[in-house]
Amino acid sequence: MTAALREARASADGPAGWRERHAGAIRQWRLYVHLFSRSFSSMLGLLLVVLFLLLALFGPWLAPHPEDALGAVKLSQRLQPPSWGYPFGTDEMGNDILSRVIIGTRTSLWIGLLVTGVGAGIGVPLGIVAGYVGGRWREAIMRITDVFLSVPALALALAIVASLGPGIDHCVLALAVVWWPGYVRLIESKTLSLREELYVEAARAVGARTRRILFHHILPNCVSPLIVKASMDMGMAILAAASLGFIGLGAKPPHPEWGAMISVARTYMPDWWWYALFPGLAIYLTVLGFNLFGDGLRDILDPRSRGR
Amino acid sequence: MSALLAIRDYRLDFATFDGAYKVLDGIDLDVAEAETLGIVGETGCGKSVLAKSVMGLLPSPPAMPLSGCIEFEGRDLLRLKPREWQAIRGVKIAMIFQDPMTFLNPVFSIGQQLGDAIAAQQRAKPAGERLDKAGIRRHAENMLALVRLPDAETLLDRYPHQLSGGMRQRVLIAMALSGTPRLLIADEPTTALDVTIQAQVLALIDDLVRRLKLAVIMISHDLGAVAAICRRIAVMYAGTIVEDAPADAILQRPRHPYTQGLLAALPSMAGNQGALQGIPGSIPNLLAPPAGCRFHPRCGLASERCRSEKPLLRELAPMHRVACHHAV
Amino acid sequence: MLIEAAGLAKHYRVKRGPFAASVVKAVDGVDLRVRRGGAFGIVGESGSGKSTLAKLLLRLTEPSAGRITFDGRDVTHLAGEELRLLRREMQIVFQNPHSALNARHTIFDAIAEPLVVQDRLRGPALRHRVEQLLDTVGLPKLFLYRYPHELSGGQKQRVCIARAVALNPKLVILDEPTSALDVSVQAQILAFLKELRAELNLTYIFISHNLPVVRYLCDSVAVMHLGRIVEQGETEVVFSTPQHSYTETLLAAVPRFAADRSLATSA
Repeated sequence: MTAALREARASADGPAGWRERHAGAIRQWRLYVHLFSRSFSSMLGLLLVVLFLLLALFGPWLAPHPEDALGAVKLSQRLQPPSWGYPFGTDEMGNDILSRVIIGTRTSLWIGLLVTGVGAGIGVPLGIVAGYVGGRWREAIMRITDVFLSVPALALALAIVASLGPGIDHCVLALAVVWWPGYVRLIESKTLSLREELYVEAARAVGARTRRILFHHILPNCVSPLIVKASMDMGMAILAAASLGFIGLGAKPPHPEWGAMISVARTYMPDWWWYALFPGLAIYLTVLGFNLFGDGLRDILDPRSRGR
Repeated sequence: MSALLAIRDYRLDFATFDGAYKVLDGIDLDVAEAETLGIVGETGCGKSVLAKSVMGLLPSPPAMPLSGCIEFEGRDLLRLKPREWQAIRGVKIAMIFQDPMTFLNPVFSIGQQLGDAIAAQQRAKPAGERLDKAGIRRHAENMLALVRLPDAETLLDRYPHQLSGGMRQRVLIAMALSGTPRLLIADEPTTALDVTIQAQVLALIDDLVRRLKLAVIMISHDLGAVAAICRRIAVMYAGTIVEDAPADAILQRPRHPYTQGLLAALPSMAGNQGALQGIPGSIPNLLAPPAGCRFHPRCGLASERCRSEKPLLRELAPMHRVACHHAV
Repeated sequence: MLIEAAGLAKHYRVKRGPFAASVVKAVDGVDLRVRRGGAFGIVGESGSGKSTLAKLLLRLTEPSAGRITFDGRDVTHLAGEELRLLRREMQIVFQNPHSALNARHTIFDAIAEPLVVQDRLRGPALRHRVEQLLDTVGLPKLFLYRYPHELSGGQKQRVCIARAVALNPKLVILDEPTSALDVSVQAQILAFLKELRAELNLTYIFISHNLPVVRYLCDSVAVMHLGRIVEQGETEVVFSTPQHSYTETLLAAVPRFAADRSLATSA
């Protein structure tokens, strides 16, 4: 009651404050937070994502032996099992695996972010154009998308990286080229359905130009499925990057990268099991985290589950 | 003669993120055998919630029945276990809904869906008495004939999108009646239909009531449609019944200010009627409904008593109950 | 005459299988003339083509045949910038207020849209005009920054009406504006529409399947059936002495108690 009264008094005179103007949005966000926090898996996902983001951001300062990530050679400590000094053990060069895993986080997350970002950056505009304009444009865009989708993703990425040479940027380029078709499909179908909405017709009846309709009406309504797909894709992109690293086409050594670490660790299995376990665990938890987080987002953004 | 359905002091809340909505606030209603009752009210009055309560279709939570009982043939439906509902739902009490297209599965033929409905009702019978496949098909044809759909044989093999809106609604009625229920609840059965088709479907329901001695509760916001076939009308507002009387009485001599307001708001085909009167204000927020009479903020007759004391249904004339302190 | 249509038609080609196609004539040769300042009703059931006719008159879709004259100009094949400018003069209020408003935009955004798109209003000037419009439709300033889902059906429809009159159009087409609303709210909106027409000097084309409502609001009426107008004339005359059998059918289907308001049925 008091909040409404305050609102009424404030709006009666003078310009509305930020709080009033966004009262509706604020309430909506509080509902989202409430719904999200009720799900254990969503919160677990959020926790993992935040954990790895922090590791990526502050890695060099959190790692106990940061010099190990730059290829120090301490042969006296090679292949030590997990202990208090080296919680994840050491590798064949004597480097602390914990530090390498922590610093490798930055690489993996960076690749995942770039790939998802570039993929969406290319795919979303194409999808909107294909869905809204239709006709020949749509045919052209969708057929090109189909061609890319019919080639096995990893094989194509492999081919690109193999021809360009190893390195993070080539890895990102290759994966982005492979990633964008998924976004085109999603956004095109969403745009097709949005195009028929009554409020879009109302905008046309008022004389709005296509550009305005696309940016003002269509794009904001595409954001929800886009966010869900992007967060799930992060996990998949990180996995793909690790796979490329596993074949030796990712980051250049001695830069730590999870996939590359597992690749080397293969030859030390099963006696020195910790070498493969911890990078593998890192990949697993990251992908799990993003998947759970994406699932949780989809649950709250899906209009059907929005609070009644 | 005891009533077929007797609802006594039924209160229901809906628990949500924002709080508890006091959706139904003490409903008292009777339906006798072969009686046609119309429940009229506007959006948010709780009529659909009431209908679903009688059918046991409200998931609880978030629906929370607080008090009262809903007695059907002497048994309190609110205390039934899920298993016991199987013998009632579809078999003794059936329901048809507003939009026939969304209630028919587009990938199955009419015959398959009608057959499924019949088969489900057969499960309530002991094993020896159940119909076999041929029997079910025959029963389906009989039901289609009952709702006056021609060419039952070919119709059974058609799909929902090949039928018109009126035909689909008839199919739904056939599905509802296949278990020979004693009570049919029709929730806005004609709202999604064209005016001419509406008249046909209403005439059909009227005819079925007579032939099958069926009791019908027809829920609608359309007073005209309800007046066409219901002998008695109950008017609901914000979760309460404000007036309950024979149809003639409601239409010619409404006693509750809300009913009067509703009738005054209807444009007529007769000559100029001056300005159309709406009802000032808007429906109350059920999170914090008005104290006393829920209609008092919008009522021209509101007094101190109305603001504090909730009016109960009083019988002002034979069979004519009104919940208002000021009605005569 | 404000707007006239002659021989207006809209045909759709529907593919039936890989080699066959048939033509659906949504609007099949319609002639009508709407007086300036009048309220012209179009009644018909679903499938009669009345909504398609509304879209044709507004030039939201291109006619397959026929001519449309608006305020003396032939606007049948207008396109591009000229068409955009024409939009200032005729607007539409849709049937479903719940989906005619973008759920992600505030009421302010919704009403401001025509002003931003056509007049390029910004800042204080825009805000002032939007507040003025909100006042015209009787809604409190409180609602400016609310979202559609926080408003009732009647309130949303008022917002749509505010949006429609924002640019001071000459013609407003109302496509079943009260069908989705409760009876008491409908009465308020109808009474309001009547006042608004006088206040802003508007011409209405009112589309509905509800005959009593058309009787209340419109001085002339056209009855549509299967894409054609089967009867036209002054409302009082058409409804009391119908000439066409379809008009008779429609009139007969109106519930009797609404028809004469004297006796209820309960046969």
